[in-house]
Amino acid sequence: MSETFECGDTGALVAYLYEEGEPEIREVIAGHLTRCAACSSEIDGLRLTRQSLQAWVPPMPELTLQMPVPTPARMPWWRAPLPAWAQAAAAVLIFGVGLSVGLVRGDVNAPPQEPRLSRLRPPPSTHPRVAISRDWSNA
Amino acid sequence: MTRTDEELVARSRTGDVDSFNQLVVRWERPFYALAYRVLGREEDARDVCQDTFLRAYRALPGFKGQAKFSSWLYRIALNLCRDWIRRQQRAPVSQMPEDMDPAALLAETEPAESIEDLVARRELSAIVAEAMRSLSEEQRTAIILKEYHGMTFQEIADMQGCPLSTVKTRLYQGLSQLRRQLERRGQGVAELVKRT
Repeated sequence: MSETFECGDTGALVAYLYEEGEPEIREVIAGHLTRCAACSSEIDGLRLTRQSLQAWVPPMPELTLQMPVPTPARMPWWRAPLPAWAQAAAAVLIFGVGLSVGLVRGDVNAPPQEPRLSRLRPPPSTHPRVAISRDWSNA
Repeated sequence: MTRTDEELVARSRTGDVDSFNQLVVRWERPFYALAYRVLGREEDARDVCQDTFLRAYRALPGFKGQAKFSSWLYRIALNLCRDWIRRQQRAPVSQMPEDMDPAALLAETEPAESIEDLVARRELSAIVAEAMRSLSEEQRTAIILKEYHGMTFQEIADMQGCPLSTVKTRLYQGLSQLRRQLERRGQGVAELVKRT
Protein backbone atom coordinates (compact mmCIF):
# COMPACT_ATOMS: atom_id res chain seq x y z
CA MET A 1 0.00 0.00 0.00
CA SER A 2 1.45 3.33 -0.99
CA GLU A 3 0.90 6.22 1.44
CA THR A 4 0.93 9.76 0.20
CA PHE A 5 1.25 13.14 1.83
CA GLU A 6 0.32 16.49 0.43
CA CYS A 7 1.29 19.92 1.68
CA GLY A 8 -1.46 21.35 3.84
CA ASP A 9 -2.46 18.06 5.46
CA THR A 10 -2.17 19.55 8.94
CA GLY A 11 -3.63 16.49 10.66
CA ALA A 12 -0.89 14.28 9.30
CA LEU A 13 1.71 16.93 10.11
CA VAL A 14 0.57 17.12 13.74
CA ALA A 15 0.60 13.31 13.97
CA TYR A 16 4.17 13.38 12.65
CA LEU A 17 5.13 16.12 15.12
CA TYR A 18 3.89 14.07 18.06
CA GLU A 19 5.13 10.78 16.63
CA GLU A 20 1.68 9.26 16.51
CA GLY A 21 0.06 7.51 13.61
CA GLU A 22 1.13 4.83 11.18
CA PRO A 23 4.88 4.33 10.72
CA GLU A 24 4.41 4.13 6.93
CA ILE A 25 2.88 7.59 6.64
CA ARG A 26 5.50 9.01 8.99
CA GLU A 27 8.20 7.72 6.68
CA VAL A 28 6.44 9.31 3.74
CA ILE A 29 6.23 12.65 5.59
CA ALA A 30 9.88 12.45 6.61
CA GLY A 31 10.78 11.97 2.94
CA HIS A 32 8.54 14.88 1.97
CA LEU A 33 10.18 17.17 4.51
CA THR A 34 13.57 16.65 2.88
CA ARG A 35 12.17 18.00 -0.38
CA CYS A 36 9.63 20.64 0.77
CA ALA A 37 11.13 23.72 2.41
CA ALA A 38 7.73 25.11 3.42
CA CYS A 39 6.65 21.99 5.32
CA SER A 40 10.12 21.59 6.79
CA SER A 41 10.01 25.15 8.09
CA GLU A 42 6.53 24.56 9.46
CA ILE A 43 7.65 21.51 11.42
CA ASP A 44 10.74 23.31 12.76
CA GLY A 45 8.58 26.20 13.93
CA LEU A 46 6.14 23.89 15.68
CA ARG A 47 8.98 21.99 17.33
CA LEU A 48 10.45 25.23 18.68
CA THR A 49 7.03 26.18 19.97
CA ARG A 50 6.73 22.84 21.74
CA GLN A 51 10.17 23.35 23.22
CA SER A 52 9.21 26.73 24.60
CA LEU A 53 6.07 25.22 26.15
CA GLN A 54 8.30 23.11 28.38
CA ALA A 55 9.43 26.28 30.15
CA TRP A 56 5.92 26.88 31.48
CA VAL A 57 6.11 25.44 34.95
CA PRO A 58 3.33 26.28 37.37
CA PRO A 59 4.23 27.42 40.86
CA MET A 60 3.81 24.37 43.04
CA PRO A 61 2.62 25.21 46.53
CA GLU A 62 2.65 22.69 49.34
CA LEU A 63 -0.50 20.72 48.74
CA THR A 64 -1.87 18.81 51.65
CA LEU A 65 -5.32 18.01 50.43
CA GLN A 66 -6.99 15.60 52.81
CA MET A 67 -10.37 14.07 52.58
CA PRO A 68 -12.44 14.81 55.64
CA VAL A 69 -13.28 11.66 57.54
CA PRO A 70 -17.03 11.30 57.19
CA THR A 71 -18.74 11.56 60.57
CA PRO A 72 -22.16 9.99 60.95
CA ALA A 73 -24.92 12.45 61.60
CA ARG A 74 -25.88 12.65 65.27
CA MET A 75 -29.25 11.08 66.00
CA PRO A 76 -31.49 12.06 68.90
CA TRP A 77 -31.03 9.71 71.83
CA TRP A 78 -34.45 8.15 71.45
CA ARG A 79 -33.65 7.17 67.83
CA ALA A 80 -30.15 5.96 68.46
CA PRO A 81 -29.77 2.16 68.46
CA LEU A 82 -29.58 0.58 71.93
CA PRO A 83 -26.30 -0.96 73.01
CA ALA A 84 -26.15 -4.76 72.97
CA TRP A 85 -26.43 -5.14 76.74
CA ALA A 86 -29.56 -2.99 76.79
CA GLN A 87 -31.09 -5.00 73.97
CA ALA A 88 -30.35 -8.24 75.88
CA ALA A 89 -31.84 -6.81 79.09
CA ALA A 90 -34.94 -5.71 77.23
CA ALA A 91 -35.34 -9.18 75.74
CA VAL A 92 -35.03 -10.83 79.17
CA LEU A 93 -37.53 -8.38 80.63
CA ILE A 94 -40.08 -8.97 77.91
CA PHE A 95 -39.66 -12.74 78.24
CA GLY A 96 -40.09 -12.52 82.02
CA VAL A 97 -43.24 -10.45 81.78
CA GLY A 98 -44.69 -12.84 79.24
CA LEU A 99 -43.89 -15.83 81.41
CA SER A 100 -45.45 -14.19 84.48
CA VAL A 101 -48.65 -13.42 82.67
CA GLY A 102 -48.79 -17.00 81.46
CA LEU A 103 -48.38 -18.41 84.95
CA VAL A 104 -51.00 -16.11 86.45
CA ARG A 105 -53.57 -17.16 83.89
CA GLY A 106 -53.18 -20.78 84.77
CA ASP A 107 -52.08 -24.03 83.41
CA VAL A 108 -52.03 -23.80 79.76
CA ASN A 109 -52.20 -27.60 79.42
CA ALA A 110 -55.48 -27.92 81.31
CA PRO A 111 -58.51 -29.03 79.28
CA PRO A 112 -60.71 -26.22 78.20
CA GLN A 113 -63.30 -25.20 80.73
CA GLU A 114 -66.97 -25.34 80.07
CA PRO A 115 -68.52 -22.28 78.73
CA ARG A 116 -69.22 -19.67 81.29
CA LEU A 117 -72.98 -20.04 80.80
CA SER A 118 -72.95 -23.35 82.64
CA ARG A 119 -71.86 -21.53 85.76
CA LEU A 120 -75.10 -19.61 85.71
CA ARG A 121 -77.10 -22.67 86.51
CA PRO A 122 -78.25 -22.65 90.08
CA PRO A 123 -76.15 -24.83 92.29
CA PRO A 124 -77.72 -28.07 93.34
CA SER A 125 -79.68 -27.72 96.56
CA THR A 126 -77.93 -28.76 99.68
CA HIS A 127 -81.17 -29.58 101.50
CA PRO A 128 -82.28 -33.21 101.49
CA ARG A 129 -85.08 -33.91 99.25
CA VAL A 130 -88.19 -34.48 101.34
CA ALA A 131 -90.90 -36.46 99.92
CA ILE A 132 -94.05 -34.63 100.72
CA SER A 133 -97.02 -36.68 100.71
CA ARG A 134 -100.22 -35.14 101.87
CA ASP A 135 -102.82 -37.28 103.28
CA TRP A 136 -105.99 -35.77 102.01
CA SER A 137 -108.14 -38.38 103.68
CA ASN A 138 -108.20 -36.47 107.01
CA ALA A 139 -109.16 -33.25 105.48
CA MET B 1 4.48 -1.79 49.55
CA THR B 2 3.07 0.54 46.93
CA ARG B 3 -0.51 -0.24 46.02
CA THR B 4 -1.90 0.35 42.57
CA ASP B 5 -4.63 2.90 41.94
CA GLU B 6 -7.10 0.07 41.45
CA GLU B 7 -6.25 -1.49 44.81
CA LEU B 8 -6.54 1.84 46.58
CA VAL B 9 -9.83 2.57 44.84
CA ALA B 10 -11.20 -0.82 45.92
CA ARG B 11 -10.23 -0.13 49.52
CA SER B 12 -11.61 3.39 49.36
CA ARG B 13 -14.93 2.01 48.18
CA THR B 14 -15.21 0.09 51.44
CA GLY B 15 -14.85 3.35 53.36
CA ASP B 16 -11.07 3.32 53.90
CA VAL B 17 -10.34 7.05 53.91
CA ASP B 18 -6.59 6.50 54.32
CA SER B 19 -6.47 4.66 51.00
CA PHE B 20 -8.22 7.51 49.28
CA ASN B 21 -5.82 9.97 50.85
CA GLN B 22 -2.97 7.97 49.34
CA LEU B 23 -4.58 8.47 45.95
CA VAL B 24 -4.84 12.19 46.69
CA VAL B 25 -1.14 12.39 47.57
CA ARG B 26 -0.29 10.51 44.38
CA TRP B 27 -2.36 12.66 42.04
CA GLU B 28 -2.71 16.08 43.63
CA ARG B 29 0.30 17.63 41.94
CA PRO B 30 -0.56 16.67 38.33
CA PHE B 31 -4.12 17.81 38.86
CA TYR B 32 -3.09 21.04 40.51
CA ALA B 33 -0.76 21.69 37.55
CA LEU B 34 -3.55 20.89 35.10
CA ALA B 35 -5.97 23.24 36.84
CA TYR B 36 -3.34 25.95 37.13
CA ARG B 37 -2.50 25.83 33.44
CA VAL B 38 -6.14 25.84 32.40
CA LEU B 39 -7.31 28.47 34.89
CA GLY B 40 -4.15 30.49 35.46
CA ARG B 41 -4.62 31.29 39.14
CA GLU B 42 -3.15 29.48 42.10
CA GLU B 43 -6.16 29.87 44.38
CA ASP B 44 -8.57 28.74 41.68
CA ALA B 45 -6.34 25.80 40.80
CA ARG B 46 -6.15 24.73 44.43
CA ASP B 47 -9.93 25.00 44.82
CA VAL B 48 -10.61 23.02 41.65
CA CYS B 49 -8.05 20.42 42.64
CA GLN B 50 -9.64 20.01 46.07
CA ASP B 51 -13.09 19.90 44.53
CA THR B 52 -11.97 17.26 42.03
CA PHE B 53 -10.95 14.88 44.79
CA LEU B 54 -14.00 15.64 46.91
CA ARG B 55 -16.32 14.89 44.02
CA ALA B 56 -14.41 11.76 43.18
CA TYR B 57 -14.65 10.61 46.78
CA ARG B 58 -18.39 11.15 46.87
CA ALA B 59 -18.87 9.48 43.51
CA LEU B 60 -16.69 6.46 44.33
CA PRO B 61 -19.67 4.13 44.87
CA GLY B 62 -20.68 4.80 41.25
CA PHE B 63 -17.17 4.27 39.86
CA LYS B 64 -17.16 0.72 38.54
CA GLY B 65 -13.63 0.75 37.17
CA GLN B 66 -14.69 0.81 33.52
CA ALA B 67 -12.03 3.50 32.96
CA LYS B 68 -8.69 4.15 34.61
CA PHE B 69 -9.03 6.04 37.87
CA SER B 70 -6.80 8.82 36.54
CA SER B 71 -8.90 9.15 33.37
CA TRP B 72 -11.98 9.44 35.51
CA LEU B 73 -10.28 12.13 37.62
CA TYR B 74 -9.20 14.01 34.48
CA ARG B 75 -12.78 14.07 33.30
CA ILE B 76 -14.00 15.44 36.64
CA ALA B 77 -11.22 18.03 36.78
CA LEU B 78 -11.76 19.24 33.22
CA ASN B 79 -15.50 19.56 33.79
CA LEU B 80 -14.84 21.58 36.91
CA CYS B 81 -12.36 23.80 35.05
CA ARG B 82 -14.91 24.36 32.30
CA ASP B 83 -17.61 25.23 34.83
CA TRP B 84 -15.18 27.50 36.63
CA ILE B 85 -14.28 29.41 33.48
CA ARG B 86 -17.89 29.84 32.51
CA ARG B 87 -18.84 30.93 36.00
CA GLN B 88 -16.04 33.35 36.51
CA GLN B 89 -16.21 34.84 33.00
CA ARG B 90 -12.68 36.05 33.18
CA ALA B 91 -9.40 35.66 31.34
CA PRO B 92 -8.18 32.10 31.96
CA VAL B 93 -4.49 32.68 32.29
CA SER B 94 -3.25 35.26 34.71
CA GLN B 95 -0.18 37.38 34.45
CA MET B 96 2.90 35.99 36.01
CA PRO B 97 4.18 38.29 38.75
CA GLU B 98 6.54 40.81 37.24
CA ASP B 99 8.65 41.40 40.27
CA MET B 100 11.19 38.68 40.83
CA ASP B 101 12.58 38.36 44.31
CA PRO B 102 16.26 37.36 44.06
CA ALA B 103 16.05 35.33 47.28
CA ALA B 104 13.04 33.44 46.00
CA LEU B 105 14.81 32.88 42.72
CA LEU B 106 17.83 31.44 44.52
CA ALA B 107 15.58 29.05 46.43
CA GLU B 108 14.05 27.92 43.16
CA THR B 109 17.30 27.35 41.38
CA GLU B 110 17.83 23.77 40.38
CA PRO B 111 21.29 22.25 40.76
CA ALA B 112 23.61 23.24 37.91
CA GLU B 113 21.32 26.10 36.90
CA SER B 114 22.62 29.65 37.09
CA ILE B 115 20.53 32.59 38.22
CA GLU B 116 20.62 33.88 34.66
CA ASP B 117 19.23 30.62 33.34
CA LEU B 118 16.54 30.61 35.99
CA VAL B 119 15.55 34.18 35.13
CA ALA B 120 15.42 33.16 31.47
CA ARG B 121 13.23 30.21 32.33
CA ARG B 122 10.89 32.34 34.41
CA GLU B 123 10.74 34.95 31.67
CA LEU B 124 9.94 32.38 29.01
CA SER B 125 7.39 30.79 31.31
CA ALA B 126 5.63 34.15 31.63
CA ILE B 127 5.70 34.65 27.87
CA VAL B 128 4.24 31.20 27.24
CA ALA B 129 1.55 31.75 29.87
CA GLU B 130 0.65 35.02 28.20
CA ALA B 131 0.54 33.40 24.77
CA MET B 132 -1.59 30.51 26.03
CA ARG B 133 -4.13 33.03 27.21
CA SER B 134 -4.83 33.97 23.62
CA LEU B 135 -6.01 30.45 22.72
CA SER B 136 -9.55 29.21 22.92
CA GLU B 137 -10.38 27.02 25.90
CA GLU B 138 -10.54 23.91 23.68
CA GLN B 139 -7.19 24.58 22.01
CA ARG B 140 -5.51 25.36 25.30
CA THR B 141 -6.87 22.24 26.99
CA ALA B 142 -5.84 20.02 24.08
CA ILE B 143 -2.29 21.40 24.16
CA ILE B 144 -2.07 21.06 27.95
CA LEU B 145 -3.26 17.46 27.88
CA LYS B 146 -0.84 16.61 25.09
CA GLU B 147 2.25 18.51 26.21
CA TYR B 148 2.10 18.19 29.99
CA HIS B 149 0.06 15.04 30.56
CA GLY B 150 1.27 12.94 27.64
CA MET B 151 -2.15 11.89 26.43
CA THR B 152 -2.69 10.35 23.02
CA PHE B 153 -4.92 12.01 20.43
CA GLN B 154 -7.58 9.40 21.17
CA GLU B 155 -7.46 10.03 24.92
CA ILE B 156 -7.83 13.77 24.37
CA ALA B 157 -10.72 13.12 22.01
CA ASP B 158 -12.40 11.04 24.72
CA MET B 159 -11.80 13.75 27.31
CA GLN B 160 -13.06 16.54 25.11
CA GLY B 161 -15.87 14.51 23.59
CA CYS B 162 -14.92 15.28 20.00
CA PRO B 163 -13.59 13.40 16.95
CA LEU B 164 -9.91 12.61 16.69
CA SER B 165 -9.57 14.88 13.66
CA THR B 166 -10.88 17.79 15.74
CA VAL B 167 -8.19 17.18 18.34
CA LYS B 168 -5.50 17.34 15.64
CA THR B 169 -6.99 20.55 14.28
CA ARG B 170 -7.11 22.11 17.74
CA LEU B 171 -3.50 21.14 18.38
CA TYR B 172 -2.30 22.42 15.03
CA GLN B 173 -4.18 25.69 15.21
CA GLY B 174 -3.24 26.23 18.84
CA LEU B 175 0.44 25.57 18.24
CA SER B 176 0.44 27.77 15.14
CA GLN B 177 -1.12 30.63 17.07
CA LEU B 178 1.38 30.19 19.90
CA ARG B 179 4.17 30.16 17.35
CA ARG B 180 2.99 33.46 15.88
CA GLN B 181 2.71 34.97 19.36
CA LEU B 182 6.22 33.89 20.25
CA GLU B 183 7.66 35.01 16.93
CA ARG B 184 6.20 38.43 17.52
CA ARG B 185 8.52 38.63 20.50
CA GLY B 186 11.38 38.28 18.07
CA GLN B 187 14.77 36.77 18.59
CA GLY B 188 14.49 37.06 22.35
CA VAL B 189 12.26 34.02 22.64
CA ALA B 190 14.59 31.89 20.55
CA GLU B 191 17.45 32.91 22.83
CA LEU B 192 15.41 32.08 25.90
CA VAL B 193 14.47 28.68 24.49
CA LYS B 194 18.15 27.96 23.87
CA ARG B 195 18.97 28.82 27.49
CA THR B 196 16.27 26.62 28.97
